[in-house]
Amino acid sequence: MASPITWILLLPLLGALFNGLLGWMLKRRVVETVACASVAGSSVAACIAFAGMGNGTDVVLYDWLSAGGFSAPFTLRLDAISATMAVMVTGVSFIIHLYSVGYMREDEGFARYFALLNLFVAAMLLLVLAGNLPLMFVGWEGVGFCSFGLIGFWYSDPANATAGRKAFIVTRIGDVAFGVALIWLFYLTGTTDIAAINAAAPALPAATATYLGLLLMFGAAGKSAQLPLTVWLPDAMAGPTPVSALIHAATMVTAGVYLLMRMFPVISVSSDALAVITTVGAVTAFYAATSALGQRDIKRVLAYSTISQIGYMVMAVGAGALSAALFHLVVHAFFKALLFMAAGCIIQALHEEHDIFNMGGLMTRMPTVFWCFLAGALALAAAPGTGGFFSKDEVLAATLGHGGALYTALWALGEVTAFVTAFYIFRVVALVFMGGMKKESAGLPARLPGTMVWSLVPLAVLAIAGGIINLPATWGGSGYLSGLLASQGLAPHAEAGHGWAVQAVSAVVCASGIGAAYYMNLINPALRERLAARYADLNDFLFRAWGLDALYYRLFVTPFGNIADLLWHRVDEGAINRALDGIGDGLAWTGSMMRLSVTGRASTYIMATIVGAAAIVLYFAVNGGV
Amino acid sequence: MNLSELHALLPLLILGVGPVLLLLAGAFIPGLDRKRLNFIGGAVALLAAVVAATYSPPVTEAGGMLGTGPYGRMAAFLAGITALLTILLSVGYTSRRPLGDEEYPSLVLFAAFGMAVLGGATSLLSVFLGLECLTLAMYILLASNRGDFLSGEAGIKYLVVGAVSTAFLAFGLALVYVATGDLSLAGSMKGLTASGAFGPVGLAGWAMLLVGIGFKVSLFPFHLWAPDVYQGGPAPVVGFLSTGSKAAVWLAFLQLALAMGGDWGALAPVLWVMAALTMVYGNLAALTTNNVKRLLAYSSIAQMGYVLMALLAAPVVGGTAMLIYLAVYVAMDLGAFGVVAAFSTRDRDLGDIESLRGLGYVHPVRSAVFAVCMVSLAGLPPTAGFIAKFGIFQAAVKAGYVYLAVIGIATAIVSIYYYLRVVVNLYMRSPLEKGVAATAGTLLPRLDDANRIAFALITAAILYLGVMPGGLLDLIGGIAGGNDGFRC
Amino acid sequence: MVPISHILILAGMIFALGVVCVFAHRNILMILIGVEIMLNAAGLAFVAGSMRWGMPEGQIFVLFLMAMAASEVSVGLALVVYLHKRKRSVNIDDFNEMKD
Repeated sequence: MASPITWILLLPLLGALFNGLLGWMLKRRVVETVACASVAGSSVAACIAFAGMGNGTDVVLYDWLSAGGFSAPFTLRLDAISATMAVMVTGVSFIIHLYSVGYMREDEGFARYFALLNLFVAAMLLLVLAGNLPLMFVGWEGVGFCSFGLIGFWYSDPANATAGRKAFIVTRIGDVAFGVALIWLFYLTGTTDIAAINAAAPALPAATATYLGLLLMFGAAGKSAQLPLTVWLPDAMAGPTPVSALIHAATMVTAGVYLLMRMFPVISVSSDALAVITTVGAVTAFYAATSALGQRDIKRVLAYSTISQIGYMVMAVGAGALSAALFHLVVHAFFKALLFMAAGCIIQALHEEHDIFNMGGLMTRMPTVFWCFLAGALALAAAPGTGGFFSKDEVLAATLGHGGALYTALWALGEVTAFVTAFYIFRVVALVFMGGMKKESAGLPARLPGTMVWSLVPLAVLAIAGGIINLPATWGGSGYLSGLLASQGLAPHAEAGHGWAVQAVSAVVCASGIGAAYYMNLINPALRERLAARYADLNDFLFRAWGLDALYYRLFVTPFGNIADLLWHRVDEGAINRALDGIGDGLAWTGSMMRLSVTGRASTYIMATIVGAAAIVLYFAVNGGV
Repeated sequence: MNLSELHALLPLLILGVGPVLLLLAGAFIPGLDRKRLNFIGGAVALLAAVVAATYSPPVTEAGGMLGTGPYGRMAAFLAGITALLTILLSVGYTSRRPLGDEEYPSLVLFAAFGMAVLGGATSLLSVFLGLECLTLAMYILLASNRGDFLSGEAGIKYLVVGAVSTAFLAFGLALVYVATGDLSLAGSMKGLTASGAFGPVGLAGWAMLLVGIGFKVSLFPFHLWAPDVYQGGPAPVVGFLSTGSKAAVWLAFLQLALAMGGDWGALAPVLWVMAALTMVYGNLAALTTNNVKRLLAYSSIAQMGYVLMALLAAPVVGGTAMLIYLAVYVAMDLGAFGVVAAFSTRDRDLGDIESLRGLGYVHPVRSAVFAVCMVSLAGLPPTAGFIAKFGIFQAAVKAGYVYLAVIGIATAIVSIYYYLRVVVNLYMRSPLEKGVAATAGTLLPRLDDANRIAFALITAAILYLGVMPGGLLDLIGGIAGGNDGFRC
Repeated sequence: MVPISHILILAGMIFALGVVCVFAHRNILMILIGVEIMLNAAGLAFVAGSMRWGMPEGQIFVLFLMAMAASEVSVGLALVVYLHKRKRSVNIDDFNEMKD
């Protein structure tokens, strides 16, 4: 128990147990303190473990399961990937716990909430630190369960409960694939230890590796909301906002990417699987970014944005750039958690207003939130110098550097997506923070507790400065993260060669995206002045502001809007949703049909018995080899 | 039979003589109320379990009929502990329902006696007698709720279908005997395949045996009785029927399988199809079932499909995975029925799943136990159900039944939906109308101490084995013959 | 001596008759009679086995079989009487209050 690695996992678990069992009779302050302190302690332990990681260590807690050559000891494995993840997960979780203290200040179910949140952190850390697949599967299911509980946290609202169920069912489909892959890998390699499987991977036949890669990809797609299993994530926004920030932006949804990174040696045996993975990532990124354009609900914009950004990570894995994937994963966790939390501030301040078209002018009224949101938006848009710039750049450079027509095309798609990304997020910035309040009936922003607003600041700093963990040589850095991964043999050596050229393209794309978004809104004051001169009347001025929105729609958004509408409504909500519902309904219907055989009359049961007996006898008579 | 054999049969003697004395005591000693009689019955069961667990007899077989070695002791222990838990879970239930006074605990003990004989049988005769002792007691117990007509209907349905299947079983045993001339379990099974393959008579005998066994453990297509019987029977009795009685049949089935040595031969495809259909049928049928007891019936059918999958693998990889699954299944399914019993009022058993809505906050203990049992039945970590499912899937893959394992995994994941429906109703849905849960909650019976003890034991076992399964794996691995595959 | 196969064929035929009886009737008493016929077929097969191998075990089994059949029928009849009082019927399909 001396090892800090153990404490990383144990502290949140103890916190969850404490709050879950005793929380109902304790004061709110005690519950909050225990929840935050346990995650803070875990975070400290993670940092200590990271510092003392050396070349990667295993901690065997005890022999959990062992069966006929099959063993799944309770092993925690700390290496560059898992340690980085652990530090990120605990750090972001701690900040979000603090934020939750403010966010949940009026909710009665605080003990259940914090217990579930702590349990989630523990399960996520188990997933990350697990040294073998069954243990990872435990964490995998654990985060799914907590997510289910937290999405449906306000269970009295049926929509929330439905969303929770939907998330649960859809991710379950991915879990089938993961489960099958797990059993198959054990069947092939005779072990469940991740390192041992990876060591045995090169001996796998390519065709087998292709199927395994696709199964793992499908499993990852369920958890990480990649095509075709994207549908649950936007609906999952029904849960409390800190939950969206923690689970549906920073941590759980990246579990799929993490799985692919862990099992990369298996996947990389098959170039077909890699190509499929890259394609899925790139297409998902594009699809989700365009879908984000069509949204009005600020949280749904961010949800699609998350899907899109995870698409980039998957793309990086497909291109073989693990360090780029991990880099983008970490930076994305910072800025997306930040954006969600800022959105939560806005939503609470505006009395549960979600529609960005009803917001506006919050820059002066909520300056701290504005600056933090701006930092997050810049990082998301990959403005040069921010963390998002370096990480996304590495992903794109690696894709381009992979060579081949497919990868070049996907790189181009990635650049287009980057443009759309910059555009949609600055559309949000413009609509929410610039201009005037669109709907005065919403009233003045309410005052928010300090824990909510100030917990944004550290994440804002990380979002902007996050690039230093893997600064490329062109910026005077040494690629710390890439070097770390390479030194432990977890990834091919640092992708050296993305020079200024790719960076310049990315910068131009980002700038034009932001520019385009701003053009629509920077023109706004000028137009406003002209209009104000013509109609010196506030109402008219507001009306014109709306008219401008229409223009802005016609000029720019409509083409994208149509695509977004097509993709979002037709594909996402239509076909895929219907297919998923269809599977569920089909199974239920089959079950109901089967139950018709239970007629309630014992004579039917006797008949079934006799028919069954006759069938067995007949089978033996024909095939018994008599 | 000599004295050391009599010693060796001590757990069985306790289980057999105890209920006779209990019947006499109920008839002749005044002032023994239902509760006391139940406690005496529980004490007898506990004593038998303790003796079976701790007393290592000098001989490993008695009279050429009953094993008294580790396997037989395990069967006796399982019988005792199942009877104990059933009686503990019935104390409150029988105080609300006219299940009989001393008859009820004695019948449970008689059934447990049958379980122990059946599970530890080393002869086809003791298989038959144990099974019949168990089944006759179940007929009566199922119909024993005299205030409830559905209970009588459950009893007659079980009896009529059961009698038919018993006749098949008897005929099957007769054919096996004709084919081999040996009534000892090991000898007859070896004799069947002595020439390398089944002879026609032996094969016909096995076909008949499969019908009889298939009925008792509700395998497709002999499972149709289960939903009706589960719904109508008294909840604790159904819990026993679903766990103890099935477990004992499986114990005997496993002995038959292992005695054949190495291979299922011509039987394998039939068992394969039965396992697959049972898993698919049970899990899909449960998806849209609304009555809690019927839901548990379909769930139980599905679970038996998993056990059959493990049994199919047993000749290759050993029976440990299956035995673990059985032990865990007994705990979690009995727990679920215990909660149903504890939620059952004077007039009716727990019915529609919607009636669970919001109970999680009104009755935290029972709801928590229910949730733990459901999560475990669904095979989710960190419960024992996960370990158990993992073991059987792994065993199936190892024995080469990869497609069956895939069907199993897929249906297991489908099953999560209906198991968690129960949890969702308990915790995540508000009561149908405001205030209804509050009043409904007060109408539900209070939890008594016997229930609390049983629930504590069951929950602790499920959670402990989920986190630290090593001890049980070692124990059962040792009983099943040491190095038979589950633990190297 | 009668060849074993002849006895087995006879037992099989009796068993099949029992099955038909169970299959064709809805009356609980007739079903129980059918079950008795099937059990007796099993008994006959056991005796045949005993004869074939020259061992007494099969005949012992038949004794147990008879005892068991008697107890099963007695429980069954008790249940029939009990249910008949409630429903005035011995048709098994009249007991169908529970179904899906």
